[in-house]
Order: sequence, then C-alpha cells, then structure tokens
Amino acid sequence: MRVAWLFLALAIATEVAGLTAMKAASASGSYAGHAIMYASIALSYVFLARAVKTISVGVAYAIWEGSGVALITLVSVFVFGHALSGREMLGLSMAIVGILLVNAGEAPEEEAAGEAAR
Amino acid sequence: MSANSFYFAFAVMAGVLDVAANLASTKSNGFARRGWGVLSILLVLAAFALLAEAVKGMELAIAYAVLGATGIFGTAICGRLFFGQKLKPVGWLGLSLVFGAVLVLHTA
Repeated sequence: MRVAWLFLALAIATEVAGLTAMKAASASGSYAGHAIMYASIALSYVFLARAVKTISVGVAYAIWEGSGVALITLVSVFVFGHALSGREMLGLSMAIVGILLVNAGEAPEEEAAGEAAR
Repeated sequence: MSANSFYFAFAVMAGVLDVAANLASTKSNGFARRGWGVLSILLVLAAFALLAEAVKGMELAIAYAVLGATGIFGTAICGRLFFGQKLKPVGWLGLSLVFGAVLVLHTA
C-alpha cells in the first residue's frame, strides 16, 4: 500500500515537470518543450499504472489532478516569484481539503472486491 | 460560435480520452499487461494533443475546467462501473472540492 502512494507521488512529480515544460513551450513554441512534455506525461502514466494497482483509480486520478494544479501554482510562486492572490490561496486550500476528503472516502472493502473481479 | 463549440468539443474529447487512459492504466495491473499499459500512454498523449488543439481557440482555464470535470468525475464513475471501486459520500464531496480547486486555480 505504501509503495502505491510512492508511485502516485512520482506520477505527480513527473506530471508537474511535464506541465511546466508545456507552459515554457507554449510561450516559446519550441518543439523540445513539447517533446519533454509528452515524455514526462508518458512516464507519469507508467507510475500511475503502478499506483492504481492498489489505490482506486477515481481516488488516484483526483489526487493526481488536484496535486498537479496545486503544485504548478506553488512552482509559479517559488520558482517564478509570483505573488499568491487570495483566490489562489482559496484554490490551494480547496485542493488540500478535497484530497483529504477523497482519501477518507475510499471504501476499502469495495476496493478489495474490485481487485478480485479483475 | 460554431468555431467555439468546435474547440469545446476538442476539450471534452481530451477529457474522455483521459478517462479511457485511466481505465486502461488500471487494466494494465501496474504494467504487467503491457498492451493495456501502452494503450493507456497512447490515450493520454492523444488527450494532451487534443488539449493543445483546444487551447488554440479557447481559454486555457476553460479547457482545463472541462478536462478536469470530465476526467475527475468520469474516472470515479467509470471506476465504480467497471471495477466496483465505490466511494463514500464524503469522497464525492472531496472530488467536488478538487474540481472546484482546478476551476479556482486555473482562473485565478
């Protein structure tokens, strides 16, 4: 179970790398930026596939998406020196609370049943 | 107007492909079944290619909102339908908050 969360964290890290590359590429229009983006996203899905062996796919994807957007915002704050607006603080809090609730909402017995059905 | 809905359709299709990629990824059993694993990667790359097309004609924020809504709720619903992975009501509340966060952060 713990290994699955590690894989999910790796999937999120590679996704954030890919989205950062996309942001840079859309500004400069470079092919290298797009190539890095597609490679990162592909790698991210390899990790995601490992994570969803034990974590419900709906839960894993929501966490992947939510953490991705939250981390991209933090990257723009810490790397690009962007000042955090009230709206962004609200968004970040929503992402954190949402992810905690999604985690709390995972029904373990049903997950086991799903595993067996596969 | 017809041009707008054309790009909007690209964003929706990107979301649908994203959901399909997640399902294939689950099917791959952690890449043990290579075919499903490769299919999931191809699907997600296609989803991003469509997203890149969509943002040529619409706001990135709106494209992401569409992708987020389709992806987050579509994956949870399909996970339940195809793999019996149920979510408690508090989990659905969490999904709505995560979707809200995607909306708020991309339009901030």
